[in-house]
Amino acid sequence: MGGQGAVLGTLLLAEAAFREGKWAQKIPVYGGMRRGGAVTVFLRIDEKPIRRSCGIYEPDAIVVLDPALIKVEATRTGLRKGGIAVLNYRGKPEEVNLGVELSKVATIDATAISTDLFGPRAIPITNTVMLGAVSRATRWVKLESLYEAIRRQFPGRIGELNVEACERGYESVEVWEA
Amino acid sequence: MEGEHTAMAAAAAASAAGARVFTASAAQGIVYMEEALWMPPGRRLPVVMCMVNRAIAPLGGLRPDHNDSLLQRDTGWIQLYCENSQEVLDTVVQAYRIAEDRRIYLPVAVCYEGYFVSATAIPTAAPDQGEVDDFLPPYKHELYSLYPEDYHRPPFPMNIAKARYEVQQAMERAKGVIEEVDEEYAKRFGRGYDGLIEEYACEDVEAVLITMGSMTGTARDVVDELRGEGKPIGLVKLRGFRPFPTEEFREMAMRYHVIGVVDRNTSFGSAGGGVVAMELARALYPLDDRPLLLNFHVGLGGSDVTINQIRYMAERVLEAYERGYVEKEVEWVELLDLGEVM
Repeated sequence: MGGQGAVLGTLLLAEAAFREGKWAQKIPVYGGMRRGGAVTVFLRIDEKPIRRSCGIYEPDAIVVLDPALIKVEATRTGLRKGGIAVLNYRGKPEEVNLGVELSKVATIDATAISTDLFGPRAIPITNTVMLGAVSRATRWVKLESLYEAIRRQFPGRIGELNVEACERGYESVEVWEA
Repeated sequence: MEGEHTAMAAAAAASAAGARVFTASAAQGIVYMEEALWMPPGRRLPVVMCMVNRAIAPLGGLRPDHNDSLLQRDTGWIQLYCENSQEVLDTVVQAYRIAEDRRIYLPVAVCYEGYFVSATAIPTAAPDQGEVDDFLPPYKHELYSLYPEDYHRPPFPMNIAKARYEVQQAMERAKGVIEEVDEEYAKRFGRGYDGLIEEYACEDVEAVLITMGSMTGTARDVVDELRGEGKPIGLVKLRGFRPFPTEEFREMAMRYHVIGVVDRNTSFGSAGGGVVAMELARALYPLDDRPLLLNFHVGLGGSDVTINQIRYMAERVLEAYERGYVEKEVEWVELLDLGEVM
């Protein structure tokens, strides 16, 4: 959903991968950008330069920032057998059924952590909490690389708060593995 | 500025006054700007502009196709189409060298698609400021310092034809200058783009697909796969649409039996298909032995140009090569169900 930081969060993830010597590509897909509107962002990470500019139809992993979107059919379209799901969801990962055999399911109540750190908001900003969870669940980027990316993007107190959000995401996420 | 029309008028005026200027727009903005877009070529002003391709409303939206910039093809602007952010950055620097070359003095549009280039983040190398300054000496318009009195005077009808012919001649000269500038840029900065046109994985192939802009990167991956499968198809990236590389295409026509043109645009009621295909058909018409020509509309209104679609188009081109004739001259690829659900 717009306003939750999906686009910026993905950029931070791309930068963290780049800091580890990888190539990364972030492609946002949205209509008019507005708080509360649905937003999809694609991310590719590779050892070599990424040439294709098309969207991703069969992702290795999905990350869902808004619990309301987990039930939406479009969210899970293309998610394949052996894939990974990282969800902002209050329940246990074992309870999650996305209709396909996944290799890992990770759940975290990112909304609660975000509210705790940033105060209550109509649309909670969960991106940096989810980044920590993604790091733990996928092992694609190190937590330290995410911290560096966050600090570069938000120098000062806001950055440190987001680093804390990221750390708590990493520590609090529950990962179920097949 | 209260609008794009004024923005271009101001850019032209500033250029005439001796400033190096830059502006950018997209879709409705470019269309709204159009009347003023004729000013810089007519006045031989080296304005540089990014045309960030976006589909024109109402049959468009925020996402890209190439109709907004292609609509300006007759204005006298040089048009270079870029594949990714790195090429955009490098081409903007090159654009000033081309535009301000005393053999040219024409404005340059650096065209690239919204979303797939403009909103897509990739690692991009920024050249050193000092090296760019060396590459781009200070702007001094020699034509204006030679004939300042001509600026306000409306030309006589006889002179209009002459002035237009001069623009046409500058466009022809631009072909060589674009290549020269790209080569020098590659030597200094380590990145080059083969001037107006790039042949990719074309050794010993019988057929090629022609792409423009961001879809080229995707097509590189597909062509690599197809070559791996032993299919005789390569890729041609059209970077310079204005000036159009007629000579290069005529030379290619001797080597390739079938050409498939991928048009991310429409020209309703045209002689046949999209703008690039029509341009190419004219370039090849005088040849005795012409390759077969297929044309595809794809990515209209900003829909994704997918791996499956490029593969489909490549297969149609290869099919035409095997059969020796073209079954369908123009195809709207997006209307086919190729099994993709976003």
